[in-house]
Amino acid sequence: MRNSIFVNLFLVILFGGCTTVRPPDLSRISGSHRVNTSYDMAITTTSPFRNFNKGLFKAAMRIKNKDLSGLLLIKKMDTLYDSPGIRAVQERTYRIVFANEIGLTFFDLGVSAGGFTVFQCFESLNRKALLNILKTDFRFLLSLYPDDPVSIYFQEGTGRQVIKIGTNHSKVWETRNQRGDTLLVVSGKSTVADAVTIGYRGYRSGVPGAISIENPVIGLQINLRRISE
Amino acid sequence: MNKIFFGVVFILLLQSLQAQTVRMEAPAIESLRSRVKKVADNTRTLISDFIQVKEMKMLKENLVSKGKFYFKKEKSLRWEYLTPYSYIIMIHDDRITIRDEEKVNRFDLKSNKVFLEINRVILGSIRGTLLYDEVNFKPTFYQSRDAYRVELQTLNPKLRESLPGIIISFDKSDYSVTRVEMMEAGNDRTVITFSNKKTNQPIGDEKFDIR
Repeated sequence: MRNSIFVNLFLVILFGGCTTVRPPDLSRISGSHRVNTSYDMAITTTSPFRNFNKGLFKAAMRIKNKDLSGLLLIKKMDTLYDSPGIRAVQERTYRIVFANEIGLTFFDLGVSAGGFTVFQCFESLNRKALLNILKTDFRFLLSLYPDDPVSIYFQEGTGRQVIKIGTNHSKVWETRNQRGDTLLVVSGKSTVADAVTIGYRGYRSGVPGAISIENPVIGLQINLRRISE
Repeated sequence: MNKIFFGVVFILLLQSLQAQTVRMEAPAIESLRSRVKKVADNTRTLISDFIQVKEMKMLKENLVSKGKFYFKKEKSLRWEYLTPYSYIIMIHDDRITIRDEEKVNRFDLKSNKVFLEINRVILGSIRGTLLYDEVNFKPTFYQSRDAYRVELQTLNPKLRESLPGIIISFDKSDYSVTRVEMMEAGNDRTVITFSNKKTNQPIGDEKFDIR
């Protein structure tokens, strides 16, 4: 039993460590400095969630061959902590509620760049490892990381722009269209276990209509389809 | 002028008193239980529209879904959401079929303990049979002018974490369930209100089967 756990852990670390989040076929355009003012403008205008306030999504989540589905609401809050007696933090903060069709809440999370609160979580999902992965997923989904680029690349074959952003705890790659004005993919990881690739499609009013979130190391997949503002 | 004012106040006060709920005594509770059981026993089929509102107090948001509900004795259920998206949950012969847009999933009810429990609670709420489940719920009975209201406090520790309580309202005229409130941790709740109820009308087996 102990050997089996050790082998599984070893395999996760081995394959997790090998999981690459760097998009392929990249040629560097610029080095580790800000490029110019127009690039800074592009950063703020092409990340769809930087000015996002609220959205309702049809959600399907698959984890280890178990399927969960329902509605996922993302709402920007004034502060991460609304509860009395808890220090209010002034930063871009979102509440993310995933509930099944009948209305029962699977999870209710508060996420910001520096904070993470589990307000409610279904017992079978309330695992520290899974919640840490969801924290990374939603931070990357909502662009809750600094917008200072480290390097800019050109992707051979597709002609897309790829921007590498280094944060204190993680590496993030943003893949944009050829003009650089539409975010297509965010990939990144902060640990070996939470490597994630997020695809954005079907933009409406500047917000993606369909989002796919894939965590290959633990086999977690979340698909979102936007159904209202 | 004063007479009109006091007259209006008196009428409002009277209406408020009539709308108040009072706790029921043992004989009335037994009578309600037996009436609800009789209605459940005599209901072979049930078709109803429903509006489901998930109220999230902290977020100051409501999620509203609407659809159609079909029940056929003993355990066939079709829970069809029409807005804001198309989604059908069907339970027949201990098999669950879910159609999400064009995608159809089938699985054994017994293989999914969470779904099994939720189904038991939902079906028991709608049929009123949860009133007798004193192993998992502690009931408290109230009545107002128009309705009976049964507050069920969840005793099962696992279920209590996600569903601390359920409130079921019964129509006083026919003892049918008009409203189910599922109370969640953090003061959120989901309220399902039934309307246009039709009992014992024929429902073909094809309603519980998606090819």
